[in-house]
Amino acid sequence: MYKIILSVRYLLKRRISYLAFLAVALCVFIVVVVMTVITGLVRDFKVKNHKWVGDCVVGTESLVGFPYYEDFITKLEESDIIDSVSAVVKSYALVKNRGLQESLGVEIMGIDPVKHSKVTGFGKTLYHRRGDVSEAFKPAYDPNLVGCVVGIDKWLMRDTNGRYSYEVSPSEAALLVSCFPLTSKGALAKAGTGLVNTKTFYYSDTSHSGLAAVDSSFIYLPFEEAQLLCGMAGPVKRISAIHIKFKPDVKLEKGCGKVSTLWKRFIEEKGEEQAELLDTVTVQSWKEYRRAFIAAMEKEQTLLTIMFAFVGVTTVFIVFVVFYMIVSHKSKDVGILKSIGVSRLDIIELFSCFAFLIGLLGSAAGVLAGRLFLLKINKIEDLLFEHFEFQLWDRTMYAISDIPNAVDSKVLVVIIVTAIAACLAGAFLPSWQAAKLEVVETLQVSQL
Amino acid sequence: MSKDDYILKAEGLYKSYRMGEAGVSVLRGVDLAVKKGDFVAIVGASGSGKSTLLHILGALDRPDKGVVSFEGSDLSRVGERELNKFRNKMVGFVFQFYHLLDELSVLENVFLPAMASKSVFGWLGSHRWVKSRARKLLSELGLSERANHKPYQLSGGERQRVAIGRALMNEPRILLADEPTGNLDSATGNGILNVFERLNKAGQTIVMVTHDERIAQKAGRIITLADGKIK
Amino acid sequence: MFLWVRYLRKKKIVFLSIAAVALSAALLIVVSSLFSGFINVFEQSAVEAMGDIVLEPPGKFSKYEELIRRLEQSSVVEQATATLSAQGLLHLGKGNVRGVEIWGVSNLDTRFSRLERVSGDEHPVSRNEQSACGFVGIGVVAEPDEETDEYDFETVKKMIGQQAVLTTGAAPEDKQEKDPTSDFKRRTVRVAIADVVFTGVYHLDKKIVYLSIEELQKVLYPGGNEGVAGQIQIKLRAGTETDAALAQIRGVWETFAAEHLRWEPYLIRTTAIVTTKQMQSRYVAEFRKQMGVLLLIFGVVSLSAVLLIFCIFYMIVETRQKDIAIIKSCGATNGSVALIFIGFGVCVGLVGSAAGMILGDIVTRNINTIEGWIRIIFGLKLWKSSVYMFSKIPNEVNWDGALIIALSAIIAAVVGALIPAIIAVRTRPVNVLRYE
Repeated sequence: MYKIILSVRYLLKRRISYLAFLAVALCVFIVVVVMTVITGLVRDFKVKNHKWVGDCVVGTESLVGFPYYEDFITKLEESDIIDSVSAVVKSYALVKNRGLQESLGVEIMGIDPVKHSKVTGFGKTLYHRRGDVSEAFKPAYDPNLVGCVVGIDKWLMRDTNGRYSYEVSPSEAALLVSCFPLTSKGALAKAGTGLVNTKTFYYSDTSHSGLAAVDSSFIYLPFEEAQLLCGMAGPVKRISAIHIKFKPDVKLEKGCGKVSTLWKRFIEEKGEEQAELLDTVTVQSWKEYRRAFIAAMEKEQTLLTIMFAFVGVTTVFIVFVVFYMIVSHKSKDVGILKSIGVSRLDIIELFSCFAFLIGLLGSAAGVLAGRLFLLKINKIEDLLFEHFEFQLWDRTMYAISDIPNAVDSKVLVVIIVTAIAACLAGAFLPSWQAAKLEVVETLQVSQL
Repeated sequence: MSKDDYILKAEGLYKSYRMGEAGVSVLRGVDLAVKKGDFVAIVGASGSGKSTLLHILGALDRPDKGVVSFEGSDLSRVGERELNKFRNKMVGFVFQFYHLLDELSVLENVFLPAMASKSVFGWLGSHRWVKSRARKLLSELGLSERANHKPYQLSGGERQRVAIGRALMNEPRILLADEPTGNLDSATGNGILNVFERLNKAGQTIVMVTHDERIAQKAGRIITLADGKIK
Repeated sequence: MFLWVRYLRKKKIVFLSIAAVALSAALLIVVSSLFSGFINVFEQSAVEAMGDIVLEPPGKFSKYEELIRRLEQSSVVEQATATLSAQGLLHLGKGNVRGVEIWGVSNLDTRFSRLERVSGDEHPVSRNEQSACGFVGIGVVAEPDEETDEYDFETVKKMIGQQAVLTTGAAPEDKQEKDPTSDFKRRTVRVAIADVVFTGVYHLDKKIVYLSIEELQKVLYPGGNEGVAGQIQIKLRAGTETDAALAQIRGVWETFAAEHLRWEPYLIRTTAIVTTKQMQSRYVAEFRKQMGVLLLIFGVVSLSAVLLIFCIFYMIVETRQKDIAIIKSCGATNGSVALIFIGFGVCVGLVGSAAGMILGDIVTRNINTIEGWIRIIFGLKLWKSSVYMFSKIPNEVNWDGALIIALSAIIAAVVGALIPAIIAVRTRPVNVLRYE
């Protein structure tokens, strides 16, 4: 009990303890804010990727694609774990907009908008046709025309607040899309006759997935049209991928495992037919499918975590010095306590209790300040932008809307525990040295 | 006199310290026996080793050679834990410079030894009794009104009386006092000695170290220490 | 003073304060150097790719050779080259199609050094009638290893000499299109890969196919009589003042466009003539902002060094009050007492910041090696060219920034020692030397 009483009294009476408290609070505050923002950005990014892909992808990287997808889709739809599936054609294309002299390189994705919206969040990314996804490829100005949906960053500009100036209704625009059609062997299908397939599509809507790489480079076309453009609409039709959504109670790994098993059985049944194309097909969860992008973000998070681990080291440093000072001053107290029978372990416990108190109160203060700051972070950024034209991330350059400010409880617990551990670590050596002090040395006249 | 009458016994004590390159022999074969109820004064000049002897007797320091036994038990054979218990329960120390904890009140300083020996739950169960005893001690020492004051608010004599109260908290078998009046004026010092006399009359065994012969006269037995030996 | 230096030198904890200053300074120097280095390489890569100044009119223009001649006659221009660019699709083989940017350049043979060419060659490419010859960026034909982020050069070398098919297209300049399909044909050309280039700049290596400007003109504008360019890239003479150069170049352009192209004044005026650094300025400003935020955060954390020094000196003053009192009672002035601590604060700052600069220099220069060790030991590839634009981490120390940081460290150390110095000055000998 005396340990608690003395710890509290040391904290309240020794002004130098306030320094340690402030240092811990400040370090915790910085770490809470930075980690919340970064974790939020990574989390948002993962969610957007998940929504764009669905749960699982059976597909190939090769632009040749793979055949017999209808048979496999039938098998998938018979399975009890599958909610919905969507066949997709993907390739590279050149697009020319009337009025511009030059073509732009894009990626095209041929989809059935209704099916694809069941598997992914495609329907919610639309603007004009959000209410009725089946009309996605029917321009409002002439539904008889074959429409296309353009990635929003290819069509509109973001303002400094990160908002797009949407049109009331889609403007009439014709886009000329050209693609290399490939045979099932990967050769150019139209050798000697111009080599490319070209078709005009009419701008129908924009898609805002929130993923910069997608919104700045993708154009969505009707599935059959894309198949024709890419030369995949021959006697044995081909596609690039099947996107899958599992039922709500199905765990991701389990679901992907089952699909993988289904696929293996399927290609065994098919035997040697177009085996070289079927062999290029992989079954991946959305995390694996987008790992290149997600890994980059996670790496940023790791780098920042490592850098801010230095902040933790700094906390240990400060607490060490403060405790060194306090213990030096308290050597007389240590002698007195030992003279009345307090053991070395008790002395270490006393100062550890003190360190624990500083860590707990400091991190509580830091967490509170961090939460308050995060609550207002977007308002603060707006104010800074209004008065000083300072914006942490230029919204015209970064695909960020509001700065994420939802505190993750797990991260918070880790930060608090680490702060307390840092304080205990910093106090350990001085406490141990104090415990080692001999009573007669500390209670000599010269020690006063 | 039988072995059982002696509460504290020292035989052939030697102790030396290193002062830079040289070694200084402070005790060179000291024998001492204290009976229950004794009031012993150890007298000697400055540097004669009397404080060292007191620290060894109270297990605050270890001799280089020799044996200290308390109620027949050799303290050198006792483990760290038992020694802590000995210092907490069996011995009460009073220092020349009081050595009170500045962060605790007078009452808290007095019941500190009782609190130190209890766990949190033990304290919750017994704190009422402990505080009551501490208040009683303060009352006996004339410090009832000072219970909530801090040490820096007290005079030298008052602080020394608080230190005595602390030393008596756990009803120690023996009270060891190292120059208890050394930092006080003569009137205040006499007051402290009167307290010791009263305690001894009530049966408390006291061993007091002093350099002043006149103060030593108040004790029942005087032992003179010179050049590390008892004269 | 002598006694104090002897005393303070013995206190191990004083070295802790030096270590704290050194570590804080080193951290800030490394962060500042890496960011500044990145910004410099970012700007420099643009200059190496596009020259010092870029002249880009609103539309394509002919007779560019005459413009180049006039520019090179001026006192500010060392060299000018014409470029033409388009987007395209490249078919490299079985199922291998890439979206690419095609740069038609007038100095294809000499544009890349021997080090940048994967073949290690520096000779001009030999041309043939059947196909155009081009250089492709290494990222077009290969992917770097996922773990090491390095290319397999031996495999890449096998692509040299291979045939590829490139498709592109552009509308003729003077046609008004009602139906975008009319008069607009996709242009397709067979390209022999004469060499593969590795510049270390991710975007250049991943996306670009280089043809000679004449070849690209033939593809985009077949049947055209005059050569067409989209941009003039200008290298200035050494020591030329940028603003003066821009003004002179604009003068040359305006005269040329009026005389030879007979363009409308509006088109002439809206021709962009900017330095490549100005073109990158928006991105550079964003990088500088991120650097500022990071330095601010670490700077705040580094204030702990100030705190540390304060604590240590405060402790020394508190425990050595008697000594201070004795010195004062012997006649030492307040100034000399304060000077002891402030002087020692300066020493801590000087030694700490010097150590910090050395440490910062070592870490920065060897950052790529350190990154390699981290990859080998922890399996964590921190720096990827696809994320950070360059293959190697820029490792030049920013000495201007380092000096500012070092100076700040010295000031911080003095500030940390200030309050203890004041306490020491205010010590009254009589209060301390009296027994309790």
